Amino acid sequence: MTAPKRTVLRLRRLLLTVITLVFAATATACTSGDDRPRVVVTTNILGDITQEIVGDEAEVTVLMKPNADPHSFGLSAVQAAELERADLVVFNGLGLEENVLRHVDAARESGVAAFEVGKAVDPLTFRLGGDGGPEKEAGQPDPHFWTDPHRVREAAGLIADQVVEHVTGVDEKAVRDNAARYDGQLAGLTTWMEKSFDRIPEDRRALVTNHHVFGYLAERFGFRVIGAVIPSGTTLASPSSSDLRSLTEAMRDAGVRTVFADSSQPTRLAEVLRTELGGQVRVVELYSESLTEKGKGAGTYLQMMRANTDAMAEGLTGN
Amino acid sequence: MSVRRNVTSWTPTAVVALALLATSCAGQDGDAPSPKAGSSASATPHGYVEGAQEAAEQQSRLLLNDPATGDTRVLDLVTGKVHEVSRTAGTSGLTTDGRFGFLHTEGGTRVLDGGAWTVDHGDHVHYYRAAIRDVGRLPAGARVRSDAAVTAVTGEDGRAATYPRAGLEDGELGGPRTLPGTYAGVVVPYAEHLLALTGDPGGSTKVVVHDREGKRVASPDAECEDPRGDAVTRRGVVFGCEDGALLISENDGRFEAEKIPYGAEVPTGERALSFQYRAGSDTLTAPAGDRAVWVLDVTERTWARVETGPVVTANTAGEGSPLLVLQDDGALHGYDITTGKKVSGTERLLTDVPGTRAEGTPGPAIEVDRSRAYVNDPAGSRVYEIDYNDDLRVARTFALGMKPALMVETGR
Repeated sequence: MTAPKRTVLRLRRLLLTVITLVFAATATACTSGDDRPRVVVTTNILGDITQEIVGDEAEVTVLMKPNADPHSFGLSAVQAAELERADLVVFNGLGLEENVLRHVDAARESGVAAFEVGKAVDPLTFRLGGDGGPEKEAGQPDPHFWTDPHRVREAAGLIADQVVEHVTGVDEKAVRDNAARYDGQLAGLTTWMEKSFDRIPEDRRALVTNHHVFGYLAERFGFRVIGAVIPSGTTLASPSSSDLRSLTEAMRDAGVRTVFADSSQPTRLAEVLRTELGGQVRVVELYSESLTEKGKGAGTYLQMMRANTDAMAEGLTGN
Repeated sequence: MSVRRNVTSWTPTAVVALALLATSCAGQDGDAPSPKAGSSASATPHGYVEGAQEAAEQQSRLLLNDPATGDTRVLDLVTGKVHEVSRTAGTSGLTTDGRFGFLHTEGGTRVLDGGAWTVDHGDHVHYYRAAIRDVGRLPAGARVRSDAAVTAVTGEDGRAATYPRAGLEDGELGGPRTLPGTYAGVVVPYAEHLLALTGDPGGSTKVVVHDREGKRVASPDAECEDPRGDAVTRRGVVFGCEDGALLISENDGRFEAEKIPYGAEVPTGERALSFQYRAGSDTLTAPAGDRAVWVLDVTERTWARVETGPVVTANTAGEGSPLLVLQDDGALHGYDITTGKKVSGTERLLTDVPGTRAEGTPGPAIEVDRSRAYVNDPAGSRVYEIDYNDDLRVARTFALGMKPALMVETGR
């Protein structure tokens, strides 16, 4: 040990803490080592946006891991405790993080400031099932606002306000500077997306998809979203025309040859569609509700949006 | 008192305290052992199991067994690959709850995790695939029914117990929680409760409802004479009774019972004894003796009798798709449920044609999911995949190199 005395003294301080708490919540003991202000964010998309704004001014904890599903990720006891000790909780809301909302409510009841971003950026409602929204949720608010970069600009500004208001100890100027810089990047993203989509002829701006998250993007950039059932693994092995009907009808209606869908066998799916429809068909995957690990295609919000924009523009302008 | 001496005397306790603190904080790194095996304390996705992968589509698999040789295989219907698992010979039956297979023998009931399942979140579902593994053994004669939280096991003696489903998912049966009393039929988990019948198994029985802890709750006043067969549908749980079906449903925490009578006198030996149906469907089928098939529409509360001629087994996906009947000519036939008319048929599929078979016992069976049906041909060592919405087209034929006398589908 390089500094035995300091270590021992620190042990003693920790020990006193433990005695005082009578071994109460063990998780609580962890805080004694870290007094930095803390912002806890539920989804990794909002986590990235919040981190851009907060910078080094506070610690940002993101609860949802990369490549996870915001609808279904849950919290450990340690994370739930973390949530209740946060200076600010940033969450998507509008029903997105189903398994986390009760923890957010509990934190709010214990006096933690909690900001529901989705609600604050003029949410859209899901349209009918046939338009790409899940049937059961028609008329419900659509939580996937991040597919519209303009709303994310609004959201980022509001998050900055919340951080300044609720997180004591942050340097307001630093936060405002971060927010202004990021706002510039988001404005650049919106312009770049507009330009990219301008390459797509008006009548081909159609997303045939099994994703139900692109309603905001569609509204912002003038796309039609046409929901379709993607044949599953077992039907794909030896499909009949009826197995493919939902998809082929959607493609005929939309007048496009590209399907934006997750499939475990995209090559096989393209092949059977080609047999059914004739000519070239493309199956393109998009990032939807989660960032990836860093360097894996969609490590940040900006990367995710650029990757999707490129995929859509290329998918709909090619032959 | 010097600080130093003070500190020294505190050190041994302090080390213990530090160890405790280290343990409590380690979970944040996600690399410490967590309280629940198979899930890490850090933000692991809901439904995460060590080695499990989320998939874009339903991961359907067939569990197959040959009681004569003990050969046991899992056919992955997405990849078409066959996985061999350890043998179980002398199998009298094979049942499933959608993920776990239960191989019934005189010596006990082997529980096999088929490694494919679905988690329903209401507006969307998640599909998982994982390794196939053995979970343990239940007593012989165990009749097993599960929901998302508990697995209920009813013994031949009518005694019943529940196992937490989380235990099975983690690869261990864990300790059972015994239900008080004995039951005339199987105990069925439903709507966060356990539904059962008490009384004389061959005679008059009454409905009883317990909560998951085994505490008796308000039960509808309903009787079922000679209960045989059960099914879980979206409308409620169906028990087969001598005079028709008993439907138990839940509404705002209250359980209600409703009888769906056959409506006419049913000759001896022609009542429904067990139900075959697509998991989640409201249309149940059962052989009506050996020359006709019952179709029970639980939504409409109606029985229909379809005259088919000699029946091996039957099933249907419901929702307008045909009634599928495997008949004594070894072929699969499709009937329009509304008109009772034969609408489609296959070539002969079965190498050997047995008599009418009971649910879960060795012999040709029909398993049905949302898009396909599967028929096993034990003597021909094959399984057929049937597209029932395309004139019973044989979509794929799987040559197995074993005689699949027992077959169930998992992944739901």
